[in-house]
Amino acid sequence: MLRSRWMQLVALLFVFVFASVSLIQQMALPEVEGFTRQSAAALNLQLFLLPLFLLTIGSMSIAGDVESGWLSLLKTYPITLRQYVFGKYAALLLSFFVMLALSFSVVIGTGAFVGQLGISWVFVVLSFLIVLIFAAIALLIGAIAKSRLHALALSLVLWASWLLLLSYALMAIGTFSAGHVLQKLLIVNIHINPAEWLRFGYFLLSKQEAVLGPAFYSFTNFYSSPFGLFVYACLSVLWIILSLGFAVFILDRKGRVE
Amino acid sequence: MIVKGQKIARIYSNDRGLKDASFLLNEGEIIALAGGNGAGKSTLIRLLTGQEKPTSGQLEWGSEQSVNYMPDDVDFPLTLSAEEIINLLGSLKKVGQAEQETVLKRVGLWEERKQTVRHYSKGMRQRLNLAQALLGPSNFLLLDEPTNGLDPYWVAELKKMVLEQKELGKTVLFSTHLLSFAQELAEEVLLLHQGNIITQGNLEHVLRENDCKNLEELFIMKIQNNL
Repeated sequence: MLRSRWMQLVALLFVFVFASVSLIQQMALPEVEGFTRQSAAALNLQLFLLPLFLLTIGSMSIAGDVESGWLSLLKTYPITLRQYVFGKYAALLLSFFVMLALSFSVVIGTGAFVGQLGISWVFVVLSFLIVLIFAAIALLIGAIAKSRLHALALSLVLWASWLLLLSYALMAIGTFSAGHVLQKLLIVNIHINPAEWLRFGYFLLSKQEAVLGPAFYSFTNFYSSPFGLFVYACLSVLWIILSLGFAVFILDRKGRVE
Repeated sequence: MIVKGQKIARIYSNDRGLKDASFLLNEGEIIALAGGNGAGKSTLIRLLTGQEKPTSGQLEWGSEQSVNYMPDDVDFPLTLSAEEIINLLGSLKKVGQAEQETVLKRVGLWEERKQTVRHYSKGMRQRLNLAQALLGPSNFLLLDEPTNGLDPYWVAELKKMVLEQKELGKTVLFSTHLLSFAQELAEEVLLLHQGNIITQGNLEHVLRENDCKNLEELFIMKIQNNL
């Protein structure tokens, strides 16, 4: 996957944008404690770019194998669909982990020259978690899609829904609905929207749950407890296992009696 | 017997596919699956390789079969070289380096083995496809439109390779819409038209029985009778 020109281009673009934004933010607003404009910008950048690249590249990778007949050929070899999907997952993880490691290295390397430019461990953990979850979802989309173009379209629709549309929809609902209704909808959104789930994870791990406001006190209180963090980890793993499991199931169904 | 099909059907949403096909394939023979475009040849091959399940009917296999398969519509990963693809597929079948080398040499890709598939011509990709089908032990070789994209030299080499496989005791089934190619190579023939098997049996016997000089004449006669 790392040999793909598209993947190389994406990696280059990501490293450039990530390093540039980190540098510009640092020059504009030197680091201060808490949830700053800098950390919000970096978080948004990760949550916008990584899922977009992961969903499109990952889904097209599986859809491409189906469309090209390569998967059909592999099915005649002694390899199970589970091995195939996990192999794809491992390749996708490896490619994006390399890309992340490169971008972090560039930022840290630049920091050595300009000073004060660093990356928090929470941010690093969250970036890897984004890759782990969205890579699995990408493979599920690829398994559902009928072609590369279909995979691209599905990926973009889901990406736009999770990163933009749902948030705007909730804002719109907030203009006419009662506060407690909106609060419940936001909690549901955090659980069904992987982008919000990861954003919430960042607040949890960096102990900045207060950003959500006092109305979410009992909710954040639960998740910031040791048991809550354990539940958070389990649900994150569930996103991965369910996505990969359904991808295997759907690929197995493909080709059977319609 | 290698496999017996009893009223096998696999109909797609566009009403194409295979309809109630019954056939018997015997071991150690070269069998041609001949017919026009959309006759159901590839569908039958996909059913035999287990890529698809029949809508109705059943396949009854003889003793344990090990099938090697050459699809007609595969695009290999463009960023990999022939050597890497054969190595990857060979490792799945636990085939050693020596056999991988032999296979690449047999299809004339040894010199170009380091090049990525992106730089291969259509004929070279088809030979790579053939190479992967020759990998590993098997007793049933399925070739779907193996002549596609091959130049006359490699069509001749393909015939030799099919005969070599028969000499090794394997059953070879190939699909083709080139009836002359089928006639030159096959001992048994399954003639398909619009999803139906219109003729099957020993090629010489079938031609004699229908008083036809060649497969083309027989095919046209059968189609006209079916219209």
